[in-house]
Amino acid sequence: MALTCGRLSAQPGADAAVQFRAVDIYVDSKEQPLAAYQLEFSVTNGASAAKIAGIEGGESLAFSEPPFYDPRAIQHERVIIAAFSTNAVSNLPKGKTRVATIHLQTSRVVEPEFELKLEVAADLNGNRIPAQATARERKAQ
Amino acid sequence: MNHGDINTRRDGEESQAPEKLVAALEELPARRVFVPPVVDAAVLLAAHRHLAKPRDSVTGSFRFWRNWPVWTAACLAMLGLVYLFIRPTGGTSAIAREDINRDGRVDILDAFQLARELGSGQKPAPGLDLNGDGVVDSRDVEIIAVQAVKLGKGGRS
Repeated sequence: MALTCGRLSAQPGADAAVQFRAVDIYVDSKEQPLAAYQLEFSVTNGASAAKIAGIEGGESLAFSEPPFYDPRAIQHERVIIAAFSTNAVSNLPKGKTRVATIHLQTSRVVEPEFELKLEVAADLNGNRIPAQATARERKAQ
Repeated sequence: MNHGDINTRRDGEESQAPEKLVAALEELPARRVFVPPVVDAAVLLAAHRHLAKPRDSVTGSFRFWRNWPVWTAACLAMLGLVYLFIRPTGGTSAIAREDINRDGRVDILDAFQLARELGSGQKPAPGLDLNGDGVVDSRDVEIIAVQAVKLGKGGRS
């Protein structure tokens, strides 16, 4: 199980007490095609720093649909997301790919810190593969 | 001076016992408990019957085996109680129906395995009809996936 921690930096020019940020979740399966993953995202400094506002799918066709998650995670600070694809191996992503985006409702007072734990990643046959999960805040275009 | 048996009262000697005790002892015969003769007779009869029974080991052993259903039931009840105390209480220690790959936990790989089996035309086990609609299909896959991402009751969310 891989563990990644991070911290979001405040977006300049935002004056409202509450703001929304998007955190892209990546899984890097190296040379192996990624067919399934499950990971846990949590804000480590509490719901006053950030709450989960929404979850969307990733960039590749295999994971473009929103992943499975517990709806109770919305407006809280912890979520488990998971998805799989039964596409042909040629349609599965390899290397680093964005598998989901988590939208956060954050406070301007407390900078949110988060933790990402990759619980499992698997290839097309359901075999576990070594992989790494990372998260990065999406910057406004 | 030797007085011999201290419990023997001699003429002219005063009692050394406390006055309260003496008074209580003197009052005792006045408080006789009445036991009806019927009760006396019943106790006597029961004692005779009890003493008349042979007490050899063969009879005792026979009595034990004659009551074997009772002893068996008692043993089963004890085993049941022990199981109730030591059985796994959910979580990953018990093999759940949804744990398709039998790795001790329900995660997305279980849903993925069932989806692959359905996709390849394999006939899944009837026990995997998790929603009880009579057919194992993608809805059962979804049930496993939902179970995999379910936040625990003890979680922060």
